[in-house]
This record gives sequence, structure tokens and C-alpha cells, in this order.
Amino acid sequence: MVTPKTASSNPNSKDLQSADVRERLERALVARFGMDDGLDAAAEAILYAATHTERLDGMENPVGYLYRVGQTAGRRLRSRWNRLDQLVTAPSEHDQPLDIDLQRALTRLKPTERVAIVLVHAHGHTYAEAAQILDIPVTTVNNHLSRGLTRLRTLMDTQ
Amino acid sequence: MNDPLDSDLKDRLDSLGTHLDGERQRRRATADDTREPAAGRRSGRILLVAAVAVILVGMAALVAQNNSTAEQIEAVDQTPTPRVTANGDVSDRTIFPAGGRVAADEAAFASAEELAQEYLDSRLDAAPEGIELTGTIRDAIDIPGVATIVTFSIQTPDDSGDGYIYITPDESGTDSLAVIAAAIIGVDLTDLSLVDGVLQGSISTSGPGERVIEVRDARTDELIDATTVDDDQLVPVRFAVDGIDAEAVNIRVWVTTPRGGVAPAHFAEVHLADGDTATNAGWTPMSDIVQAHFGTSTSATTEAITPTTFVPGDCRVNVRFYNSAGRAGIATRATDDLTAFLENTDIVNVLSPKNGPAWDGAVAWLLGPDSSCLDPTLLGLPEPDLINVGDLDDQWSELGVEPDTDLAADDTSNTIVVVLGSRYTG
Repeated sequence: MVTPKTASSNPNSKDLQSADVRERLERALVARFGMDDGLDAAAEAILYAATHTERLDGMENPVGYLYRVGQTAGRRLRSRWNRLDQLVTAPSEHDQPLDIDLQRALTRLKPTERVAIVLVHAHGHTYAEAAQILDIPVTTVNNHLSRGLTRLRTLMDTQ
Repeated sequence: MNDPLDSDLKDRLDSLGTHLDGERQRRRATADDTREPAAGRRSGRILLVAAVAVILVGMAALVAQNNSTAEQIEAVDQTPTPRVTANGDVSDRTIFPAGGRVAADEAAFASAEELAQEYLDSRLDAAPEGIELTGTIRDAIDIPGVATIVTFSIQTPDDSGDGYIYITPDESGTDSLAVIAAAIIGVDLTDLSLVDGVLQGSISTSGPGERVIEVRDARTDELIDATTVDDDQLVPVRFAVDGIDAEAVNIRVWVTTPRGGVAPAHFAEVHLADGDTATNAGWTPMSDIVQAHFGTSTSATTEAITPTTFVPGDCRVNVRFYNSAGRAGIATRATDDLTAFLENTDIVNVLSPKNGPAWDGAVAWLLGPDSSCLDPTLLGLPEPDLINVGDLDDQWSELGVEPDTDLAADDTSNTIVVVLGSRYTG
């Protein structure tokens, strides 16, 4: 598991195009939309950061705003014909089997719960980091995790 | 109770994280131009709004005329209800028929939330130039036998608004759903007529600001015509649109820049049914439906406020009003009233009002833990049906709403937050 880097507070417009911010946005948007559309959505969010520097510089949480930009882009990109069934379909490079059961259970969660679980428990982000990325209070992250994990467990137990 | 995150699930999530990161990095290492452009994978736009009448006034040919002598308007209080398509002869129509379901295809959505999300995305994509918006679908309120009302919020960098999307089963008899109306603001359409392809009427909206009124072909979403109505025309404004030859049209209203210069996030798409000459539509009737369904206010929890003595030397309290009713101006008026009431005092600092998340109560006082030096009952605030004391983040949660982080950030521990909900009558 990749160790998440320490969140930087109030990144400026140059920081928003950094590898760290890009990684956070990609992780969150892939969890939200799956690999293909998630990466495209993140690319649009990064492009937005590059072309709206003045606006973002004045914000308290520009990373969170970029996530929302990416969310909007992702919804636009997502093919409505293909419901999100798995986050990734390509096999792992480490010859580990695709955990299809886990992925399918995750896609049946509410998007906010899924993203919170993937950020915190799959990628190791802290609650505060997840809250910043998603632009929600830490208590809300906690709520999403609590409800999402309970439901995830139920879904996996019934598979 | 078993911990839902047992070691097995924890390991599997950890492995999934590694897998996802590996795939991300592998793709980044591959040349970007080997990945299929996103545009190539996009499906076409799909219009799912049905039975929505659209008034569209052309930017190039403004036909709307101000009626300086406001006529007596007989507004029909009409809650949004689905209407069966009326496919009669053109000469038989008085107003456009409600129209059939205008989806470009017949695919069904599994849930009202999915449909609402698709609808919201399509509308935000088509926002007038210069308006930058993001949107979020929130909760679905199921009203058995009537509809599902999905709450949503849209945000600009400076503002946010909360509204409703009204969804019913499609009347085609399939499993499809249809959006009937959506709004953050109220819209009144009155004195409507359709003669020889000319749609005329009066329109007023519940909020000040420059309003863009669009008329679109309900089947193709093609813009027929649009007009801009300036300033806070709270009295009905006459409009007329000609060249109407579509089977059905949608009315879409955007409120852009008000006098204050801050772009709000205001939107409405309203419903007209065949034969209607007036309708009170948009946010207000949907809010009434929600309130009627849930009855009177949820049980209020109150905590006795112990009157304290002013300690002018060391007491400093902020007061901020939040508009959680979606009716423009109520928080501003309350703020102005309080400012006038207090006259000159350096004990109370009246902060600028904000828009808050939609709340179906009347008035709530959320008292920051360090505001107790001041007896709030002395301030002439609107009477609360709910009073909470403590950390403001927690207090918002106890109202059953989740504020944006920007809301809570500016409210310190010595702030009294007054939330004006949809049942506030001020």
C-alpha cells in the first residue's frame, strides 16, 4: 500500500498541479467513477486548476473544490449504459487475483461511502485528509465510513 | 457487535488500494495519446425532463415587455403533478401539452437518485455562459404513491443553493422514471396563452437578480429562444415567444447576478400542463409537498436558556442568520432587522447572512459554547422551535443537515447561529 503523504494546508495554485494533489484527486475520482472515467475526470480537474489559478488561490480548500469539479466532469464522462460494476478490470501486476467480489460490493454502496472507504482503508489516508479531498467535515467522513463499512460487510456476507 | 472492518476485509481493501495505485501509475507511464479520448467514449446527451413547459426568450430578439401596471394575477396554486400527453391537433391546444417523456432513448434508471444525477448534470452543463456551477445530489424523499423528491445543491465559488428534483414513474407504463420539475427558487407563471405559435404570459421569480429565461424543445433540448430579464422584478414581467412549433417545450430559468454582484446558484425548471393558464411552480410547491408528507415539525429538543446578565466589559457575541428555506431575502431581512434593533453596541456583532442547507423546520438557534455571556432572548430574534447549545458542527448535524465546510469555518464558538427553515413565516 502506498503511504499517503502528509496533507499540505491551503495549497497554492502551483501546488494544485503537483503530483501529490493529482494523486489524491485520482484516488478519489477513481473510487467514485472507476479507473477509466475517474482518471479522465481527474485530468479535467487538474486542467481546471491550471486555467483557474486566481480563483483557486482565494479558496480555503481548493483541493476539495477540484474534487467537485472532477465529480461534475466524471458524471459527464460516465457512460450511462455501463453501470459501475468494478473499479478496475485490469489484473494486478503482482499476480493477485482480481477481488471482484469486493469491487462489486463497493460499487453497490453510495458513492460518498465508497469513496470514503477507499480513501481511508484502501489508500491509508487519514480522516482529515479524506475530509479535505472530499470537502466535507471529518464527522461526515466518519459517518460515511461507519455506514458504508456496515453495508459493505453485509453485502459481502450475502454474496 | 462484530466489527465490520475485520482483518480479512482490511487486508482485502489494502490489496485493492495497491492494485488501484499500480494501475494508475501504469497508465500514467503509458503515453497519454494511447488512451482513447474521453470524448470518444461519451454517450450522447439524454434529455429526461418530461412534461415541463419551457419559456424561452431569445437573446437576439427580446419580446418581453414590462407591464408597468401590475395586473391582478390570478395565480393558480398548482403542485407539480404528471399529466398525460395530449396529442391533439394544434388548433385544439390552448397551452402546450405537457409532452411525452423526452428521453432520446428508453433506457431506464434503477433509482430516482441516478435519474436526478443525470438530470442535474445535463442542466449544469447547459448553464448560461459565465455561470460556473458544480452540483451534488443529496437525499431522496420518497412520498408513496406520489413521487420521489430528490434534494440537491448547486454551488458557485461564492454561493450555494439547495433545491428539489421532482420525479415520478413515467406514464408510458414502462419502468422508466421521469423528472417533472426541479428548482431552487419559486417561479410563478400567469396569464398564459398560446395562439398561432406565440406563447405569451407573465413570469415572476422569488429572488432578485438578472434572470435568463430559456425555452427549449422538450424533445431535443434544442434552444428555441431565450431572454434576459433584469434586476429584481418581483412583480410579474410580461414575455412573449413566437416561432413555437415544437411538440412540447421546457421552461428553464436561471438567476444570475443580483444587485450585490455575487452570482448565486439559482435555478428552476417548471411544469405546465395542457390547459393551464397559470401555475405556482418551482421550489415552493415541492417544499409544501415535502412538508405535508412529513406532517408537523419533528420533535424539537429545547434546552432551557438561563438568562444571564450582560457583561459589557468582556462579552462579545456574533450572530448570523442562515437561509435554509430557499426563499431569497429572508436572512437578509432578519439581519437588517437585528442590526436596526441593536443600534449601537459593541457586544453583538451581526455577521453577514448565508445560505444554509435545506431544513424543513421553522427557526433554530444554534448557540456556540462561548456565547453564553449573552441572553439571546434579549435580541428580539425570531422565536425558535429548537435550541441547541454546543459545538456548532454537531448542532448542524442534529438538525439532520450537513453544512458545507465553508459554512462552519466562519462561525466561531461565540457565534449564535439562527437557522431559518422552510416553515419560517417571517
